[in-house]
Amino acid sequence: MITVKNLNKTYNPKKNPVQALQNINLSIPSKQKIAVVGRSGSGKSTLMQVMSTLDKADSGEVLIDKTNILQFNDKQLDKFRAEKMGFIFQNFYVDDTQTCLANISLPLEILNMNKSARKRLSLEALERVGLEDKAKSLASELSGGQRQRLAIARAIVNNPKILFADEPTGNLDSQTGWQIIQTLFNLTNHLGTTFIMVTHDITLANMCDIIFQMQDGKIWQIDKKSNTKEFNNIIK
Amino acid sequence: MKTKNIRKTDLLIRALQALRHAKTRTIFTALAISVGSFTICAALSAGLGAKSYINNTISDRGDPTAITITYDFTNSQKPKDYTPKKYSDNTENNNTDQINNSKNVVSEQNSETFYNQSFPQNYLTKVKNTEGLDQIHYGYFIDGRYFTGSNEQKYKTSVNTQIDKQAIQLSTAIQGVDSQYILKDNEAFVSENYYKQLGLNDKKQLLNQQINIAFFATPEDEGGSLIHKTVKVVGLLNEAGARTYAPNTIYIPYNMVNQICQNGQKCQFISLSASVKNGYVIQDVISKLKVIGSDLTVDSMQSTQEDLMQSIQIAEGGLIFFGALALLASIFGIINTQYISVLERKRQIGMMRALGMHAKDISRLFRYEAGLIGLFGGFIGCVLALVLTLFNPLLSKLFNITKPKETLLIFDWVSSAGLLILLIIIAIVAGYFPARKAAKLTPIEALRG
Repeated sequence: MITVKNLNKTYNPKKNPVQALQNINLSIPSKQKIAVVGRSGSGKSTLMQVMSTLDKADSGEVLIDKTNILQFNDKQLDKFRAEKMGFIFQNFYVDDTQTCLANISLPLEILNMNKSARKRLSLEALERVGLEDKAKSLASELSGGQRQRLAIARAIVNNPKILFADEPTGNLDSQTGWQIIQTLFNLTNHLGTTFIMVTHDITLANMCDIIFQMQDGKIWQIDKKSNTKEFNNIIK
Repeated sequence: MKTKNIRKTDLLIRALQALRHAKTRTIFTALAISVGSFTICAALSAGLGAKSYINNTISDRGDPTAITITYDFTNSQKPKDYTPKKYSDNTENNNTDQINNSKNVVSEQNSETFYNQSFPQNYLTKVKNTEGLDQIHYGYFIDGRYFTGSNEQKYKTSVNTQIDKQAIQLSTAIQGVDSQYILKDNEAFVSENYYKQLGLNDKKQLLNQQINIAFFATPEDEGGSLIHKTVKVVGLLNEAGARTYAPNTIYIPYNMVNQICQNGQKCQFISLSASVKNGYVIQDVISKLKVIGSDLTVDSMQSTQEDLMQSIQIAEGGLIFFGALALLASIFGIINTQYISVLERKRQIGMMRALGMHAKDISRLFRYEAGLIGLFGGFIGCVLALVLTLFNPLLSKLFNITKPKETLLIFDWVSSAGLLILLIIIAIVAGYFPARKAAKLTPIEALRG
């Protein structure tokens, strides 16, 4: 269970302050798929970054299994991210200079896992995303869709409790994006991972269990079965 | 919550991969470092080679406890007359010129550099009474005049004595006998060039030839008379030896001259040579000798060796200094390279931080990269210095070193290994600032690029 309480974040607090998160409160049950939707600049990416401890909040709490992770020091946060979280970004952020296998084994290296276990888990992850034949290929040799698959494999290799995805299909064509989402949903179902996704895509959001809408740093849950026209306005 | 750091081997592999990706930059930075490391390694090799050469040469020359005591005539009475007298029309300074008129030989003054003074008797007594001295030999004044062979022609020559262990080492120069050969009575080493004058076809024909030599043991105008001796050639001084020691000379045994002088012939000597007895400190004996008179110069093999070593060390130090300057300049290259690397890899750093890599590990990754650049640069420089030692035969030829095992460049493995370690440490220190910049990036600011 993830609980967010009174979360606030302001950019440039001294000069030209922009309040990205205003007193955010929400609860996310375990193993659920969550979509956070909203216009550009609404604060949805900031929320994901603060919840995932990539960025710091000004105030508030992020409780994961009743532990406020925002109270952790940097080393504890690093360890928490390494063990419990996975990340997928719009820009993939795979290391083009490394092979697929080396890219995927990075989170396991960070966990100080031995080489043979790393290789076994990395190959399993590659297999899950359908890139088992690309283990020794350089990431730079992959197509956009394959690179995102690689990023997914890297995100799930440590079997995270929470998987954060920021516009995971944003840089892909619709067909490839659809395949990626299918892969992601299948994997999170299989692994029992809580999936939190920031997206503009209504169709994708509708596939999730819970949808939150953000605007001007504020958040509220919306009914999936609300009028489509009204829903479209939220996004646009 | 206990945290673990990423394994060092994994970080090293990632550092190597990053350097391989930026190979052009890595190679050029490493080459900059290699200039300094090559200079230092080469200086160390040259220093080691030169020291070894001097040690070998001095130890080959004989007794390491040998000392020479020379009287400084310039502080005493000035010579009466040492203006060179006219010497026919042929005044060439070629010692092997044929002498056509024996009268001219004795009237020629080639002793401009000699002051017609002998070692003062009172000094000699004090020297002989100095505690710790052994095997005192007189540095006889020998004024070589000419030699004749089977063709009965006279040729100018200089004559030197070989004083047992203290003799000039001839092993690099001698042919015909063992390198440590000590001349027996009526034996001599002669310059190999003399074969032409004796009408021989080959240098080796000089061996076992009987030649007559004529020399003064006291200057003629001091009452010396020309001494004639017949000697057998047992060894040949080759060109390298002649160039190193005395050109176109004849070496005769010390005892031959000593016997002449002990048997009533008036002889002069300008210096003394001696050994220091076992159990005595050379420097202490030298100090005692110096007290005898301020116009005595006392040199020892040890002090000569020390002086030469000091000269080599100064030269070596100078080269190392310039190498160190080059290294210092290349350190800024490492800093620059690593700063660029941090800027280029911001998103990669962000992703690593997002995945839970500690800031400390990020810093270590960049410091390892810097250390590896230092290692590569140092390694290239050391290998180039090692390659330089392949030119030893050429250098030996250039400097007339004829001993087969004597080399001027000796690769110093231990110091080079030490240099490599030092370079790695220096590079890691240089990489500290870019590494700190990388470590200070928060995950989100790094991901934003």
